[in-house]
Amino acid sequence: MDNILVSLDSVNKVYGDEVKTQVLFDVSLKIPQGQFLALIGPSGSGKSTLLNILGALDRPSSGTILINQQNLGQLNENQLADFRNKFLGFVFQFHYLLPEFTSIENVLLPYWIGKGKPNRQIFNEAQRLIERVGLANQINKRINLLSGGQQQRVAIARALLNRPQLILADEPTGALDTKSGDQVLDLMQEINGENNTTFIVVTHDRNVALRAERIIELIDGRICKDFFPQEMGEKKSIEILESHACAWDDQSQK
Amino acid sequence: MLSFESMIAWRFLKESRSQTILILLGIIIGVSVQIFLSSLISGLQQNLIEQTVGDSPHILLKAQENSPKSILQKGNQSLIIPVIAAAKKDAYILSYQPILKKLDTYSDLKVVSPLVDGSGFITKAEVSRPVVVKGVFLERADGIYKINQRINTGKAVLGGTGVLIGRSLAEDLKIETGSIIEVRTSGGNSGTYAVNGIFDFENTAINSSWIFMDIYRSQALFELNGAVSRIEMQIEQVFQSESISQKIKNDFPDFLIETWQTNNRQLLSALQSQSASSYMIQFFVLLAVTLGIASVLAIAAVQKSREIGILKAMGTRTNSASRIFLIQGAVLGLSGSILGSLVGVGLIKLFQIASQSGGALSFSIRVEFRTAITLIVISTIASIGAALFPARKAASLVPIEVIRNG
Repeated sequence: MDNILVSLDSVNKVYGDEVKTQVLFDVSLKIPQGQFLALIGPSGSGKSTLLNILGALDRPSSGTILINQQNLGQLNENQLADFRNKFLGFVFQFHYLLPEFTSIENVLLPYWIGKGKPNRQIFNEAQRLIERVGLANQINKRINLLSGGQQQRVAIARALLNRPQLILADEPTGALDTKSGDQVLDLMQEINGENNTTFIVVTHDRNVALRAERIIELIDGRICKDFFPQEMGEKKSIEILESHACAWDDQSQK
Repeated sequence: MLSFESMIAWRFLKESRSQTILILLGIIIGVSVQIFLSSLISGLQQNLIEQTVGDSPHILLKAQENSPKSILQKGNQSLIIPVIAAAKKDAYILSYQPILKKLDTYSDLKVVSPLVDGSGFITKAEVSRPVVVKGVFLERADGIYKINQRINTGKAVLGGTGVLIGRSLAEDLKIETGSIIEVRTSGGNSGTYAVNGIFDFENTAINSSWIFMDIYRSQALFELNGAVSRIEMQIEQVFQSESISQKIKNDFPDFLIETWQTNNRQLLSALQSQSASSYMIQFFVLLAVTLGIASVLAIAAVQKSREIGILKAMGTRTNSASRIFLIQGAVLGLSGSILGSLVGVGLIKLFQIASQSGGALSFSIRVEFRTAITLIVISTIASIGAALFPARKAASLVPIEVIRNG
C-alpha cells in the first residue's frame, strides 16, 4: 500500500457545553499520499466538521489525528498555525482571497506568513504557479477585478505555494458556473497527478464527486460509504450513491 | 524591511481610505487643539510669571532671626523685649564674602547680588519723604533690576557718593541729575549724596521710594560694619527655584532661604488651577479621540474578520493577527499626531498674526518642542491602546467560524 498521509483513529466531535451535540462518531480513516478524495454527505452530516479537523482548524473531542506522522493533538495553537502554513493548503467555496492585494501578492501570502519577505526565487515560483493556473495575464491585477473562476484559480495557486502535502477544498466549485467549475476541477486533478499532492474535496455535487479517485459519504457523523468510483464504473457508482444502505447497516445485519 | 504584519496593516489602512482619513482627522484635530491650548496657556503663564518675578529676586538668602528662646520662656517680660529687638536688629549676614564666593560657583544661578536694605528719609528744602535705600554692587544688581535699561536721565553709575533715585521721587522733590540730597536713617545717621541718574521702574511704589546706593556707602550709612541684609539671586528656570534653594540650604544650613514662591502663593495657586483645568480639557480631548479611534478600528476589525480568518487558516499566529491592528493604531497615532502638531503650530501662527494686527497680543506664545514630543508620544500610545480592542477581537477570531459563515 502507498504511504499513509492522513490517519484518523476514533475521532469524535461534540459541540456545546450545556447542550451537547455530537457531530462525529468514531470516525476512523486512512488516506494515502496522493489520493484525490471526495467527501460528500447531506447538510449536517459532519463533513465540514471533519474537513476542519483535517485542516488543523478544529480539534477533535476525542480520538487522534495524524498527518504526515505528526499527531495534531500534541501541538499548541501556534504550532498548529505553523503546521497549517507548512503542510496544508486551503481552497474555500468563497475563494477567500484578500481583496486589498493583487493575484501574485495573494499567492505569496502563505510564504510571507511563514517565512517573511519572499525572495526572487519564491516570487518566480509564485509567478510560475499563476501561469500554471492559466492567469499569466492577471498576475498584477487586483483580486476584485477577476471573475469568480479566476479567483478560485488564484486560490489554488496560493494553496500550492508552500508545496503542501495536503490540499483541503470546501465546495471549491460551489460558487462557480459549470464551465468554470469544470476548469477548476481539471486543474486540481492535473496538479494531483503532477505533484502527487493529496486532495480532500468536500462537495455536494455528485458530478464533482464522481470524478474523484475515492468517495467517502458521511451520514449523521459516521462514514456511510467509502468506495472507488473509477474502479466501479459510473453506473455502479451512481447506484451506490443513490442507495440508502450504509456500511454499518451491513455490519448490523450480519 | 517590512514585516508581514506591517504590510497587511498598511494595506488595510490604504484600502479603507475613508476610515483612515476619518481617524487621522480625529487625531489631527485633537492634537492640534491640545498643542494650541497648552502653548497658549503656558505662554500666558510664562508672561504672567515674567511680569511678576522677572525683575525681582527668585531666591533670597537671609540670616536667621535667632530669638533667644531660653530667655523668652521664663520670667521678666520687661527684660525680654529689648533683647528680642536687639536680636532682630542683628539679622544681617555678617560676613557675606565667603558666601558670595561659593554662590558664584553655582552654575544654575544667573545673578548673585548682595543687598543692604535700609529705610530712611530724604529731605530737600524742608520737605522730607521716606525712602528705601538699596545698597548694591551695581553690576550685580543690574542682572536682577535691569537698572541700566531703566535709567531715564543721567547715568547708571554708583561710584563715590553717587545714587540713583526713582522718577516719582525726583518729580515730587524736584530733584534733577546732579542734585545733592541728604539721607537720614532712623538710627540718626545721615549722609549727603549726588544724584547720578533717575530711573523708571514703571511701578509707583518703587519710583517714589527706592534709592540705589553703592553697597559700601550704605554699609557706612547704616553702620553695618561690612554686613549685608541679604543676598538676592536669580535663576534661569524660575520653577527650579525649590530644588536650587534646597541645594543652597544644604550648603548654608545656618541661613534662611526664601524663594519667590513664598511671596507669590496666590499667583501660584491660580496658575496651578489654570494648568489643572487645561490638563483636564486635554485629557478629555485625548479620551474622546481615543474612543473615536477605538470605535472606528473596532468596526474595521469586524469588516476585516473574513481576511483575518483566512490569514489565520493559512497559518498566521494569534499574536501576529492582533499585531496587525496594533500596528495600524501606532501608524495612525504617530502620523496623526505629527500632522496634528504641525496644524497646531499653524493655528498658533494664525492666532499671533490675527491678534497682532488687532494689537491685542501682549504676550508671546511659543510651542515648546518638548510639549509636542510629549503629545505625540501620548497620542501614539493612546492610539495603540485604542487598537487593543480590535486586536483582541482579531486574536480571538476562530477561522472556521468566518469561513463557514463568511
